[in-house]
This record gives sequence, C-alpha cells and structure tokens, in this order.
Amino acid sequence: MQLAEIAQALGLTARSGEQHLSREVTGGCVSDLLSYAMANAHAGDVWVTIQVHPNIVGVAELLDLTAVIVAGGQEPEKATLDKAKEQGIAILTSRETAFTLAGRLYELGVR
Amino acid sequence: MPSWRADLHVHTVLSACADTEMTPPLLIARCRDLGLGLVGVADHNSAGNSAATLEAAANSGVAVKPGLEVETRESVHLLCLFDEAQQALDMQALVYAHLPPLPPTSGSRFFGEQFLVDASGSFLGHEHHPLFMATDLSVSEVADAAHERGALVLGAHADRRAHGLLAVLGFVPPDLTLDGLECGPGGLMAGRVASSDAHRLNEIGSRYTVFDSESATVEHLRACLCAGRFRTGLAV
Repeated sequence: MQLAEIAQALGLTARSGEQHLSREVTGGCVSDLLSYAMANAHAGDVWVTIQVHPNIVGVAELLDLTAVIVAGGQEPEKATLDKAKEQGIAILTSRETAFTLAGRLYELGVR
Repeated sequence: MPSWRADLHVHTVLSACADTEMTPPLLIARCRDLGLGLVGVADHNSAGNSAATLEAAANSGVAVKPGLEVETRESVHLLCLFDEAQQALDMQALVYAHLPPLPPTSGSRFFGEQFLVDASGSFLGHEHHPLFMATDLSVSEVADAAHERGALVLGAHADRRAHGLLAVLGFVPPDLTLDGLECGPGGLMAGRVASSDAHRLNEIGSRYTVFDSESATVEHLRACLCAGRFRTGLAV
C-alpha cells in the first residue's frame, strides 16, 4: 500500500518529504524509545511515535523508513522539520493516538 | 594537583522515590565517612533542598554542588550542577514554569512525599510541583538554559533504558552541547563519569569519579572532563 493512500485513509498531514507519498509501506513499528526503533524497525516501515526531537530524522534516514508518523497531536520541532526537508524524510502528523493509528494501519493491511 | 573523589548524583528527601533518611546532615555525614570530597545534590526537577545541603556541609570537608536532575520533554534526564545555590534556584524557576499543572495523582501513595527540609533535616514543608513529571523543554533547551546559568550538564545514567539519553534518543544529538555522560546503574564505561544516583544512604558513593583538579568549580570540573583528567570506580 502506498503512503499516500494511508495518509488519506488516516487523515494524516504531510509535513515534509512529500516526494515519498508514492512509496510503498511494507510494515510498521510503534515506539517512543529511539533506541528500540533503531533496533527493531525495518526499511519500508512507517514508524509511529510521539517523539519530536530531530533525532527521529536520523533514525528514519538510517533505516530507510518510508515515513515517520508523529502521533497524539505532537508538533515536530522546527529543527526536526528543517532537517527532514533537507534530507528528504517524510514526516506526517496526526491528532490520533499511537494506539488508534496502529490499529487503523493494521486494519488497512499494514502488518 | 589535588584529587576529588566525587559522587555527582545524589538525591534528598525531596525526591519522592528517595528514602526519608536522605536528609542533608545524614547524607553529608555519609559522604564524609566514605571519604568523598565532592557531592552533587540533584533532586528530580528541583533544587529545593540544595541550599540546606550546602549549609549542612559547612566545615565538613565535603564540597557540595547544588543542582537538579531535569526531565526533558523527550523523557531524558539531564544532571545540571552549579557552583552556587542561587544559580540552581534560577534554573528551578525555569523548570517549575515548564512543568505541567498539578495532576490529581500528586500526593498519592504511589508517588510518595516530596519533603523540603532545613540544614538539620527538620521538616519545612511539602513541595507541591509534580517533580516526577517531564517538563515541556527539549534536551537542547534544558542544556542551553542550564549552561547560561553556569551549569555543568551531564546526561544522567545515559545508558539506562529508563530516562537515559542513549536509550530514549538513540544516539547523542549532533547539535546538543553536553559536558559529559554519566554511566548507568550497572558497571563503568570508559570516558564516562560514574556516580551513584543514590536514593538511599547506603547507595552513596557506590560508583564514583575521581577528578584531578585544582578546585571543584564547574569550570575546573569541565576542564577535567575535556582533558580526560578523571577516572571512575565502583566501591565494593
């Protein structure tokens, strides 16, 4: 499933890396410990987190994630969005909780 | 050059998770008995008992660095140690302004009591700010604000899974200015400061760092950290 379809179905707001909207999402990870995400997320995943620190861009870049979904209405730091735009990393935001987003992603077939 | 055997991270009765025996006179007596020449007093998000601890340490031969262990928005703990109690209290004012409003959980038995005490350890009052919660300041905002007020800033128990910088943020952010990292509750790590994070008297000094320094000012301690003029140890 393409990131754009997921973004539409879940009402996500793309904040950076719009060029990745046509990319396939092949799995998912939910964690607010960046060390856990680094160890357990895979290339092609969407990563759902409430962390907004610029390091989330580093994790996404390192693992070649399709996107980071910032949950719970958290606002990414300006430095995070600047770095994401510079490095072409997709960050999308949502007012939904990580719990709800994970459930809806699973329903959409992201497993 | 003099050596300073230091435990830079000790809590008092102001931290709800600390034992009620962690009063200024008892913790200073314990430091003196252990031969510690320097102790950092840092409660969660507060420096409320640091002036009392400085007073309790007068003529004891134990130098006290007043400070706070600030919890950032990301859930990272940063140890901020100062030369003067007033600097720590200035930092505390900023931290208090960035803590969430008092939640209904405060005062619950789960979170415990937050005691303000004087230099003799006598009860002065309860601290009502929710010190066990995170501020809404980022790691950089906390580190920069503490540095502006004259602090030595260390990533507290940086390798610990709960509230450790490395676990929470995955790696040290490239643009974050820290003076060092403190290693966690387990062993020692090369290049990292070791301290006890004591919440009980018998934990004080269990991990320590010896600084080879002219004095125990923030400036001199920072120079030691930069030059590697320190070594760590585990007390048996």
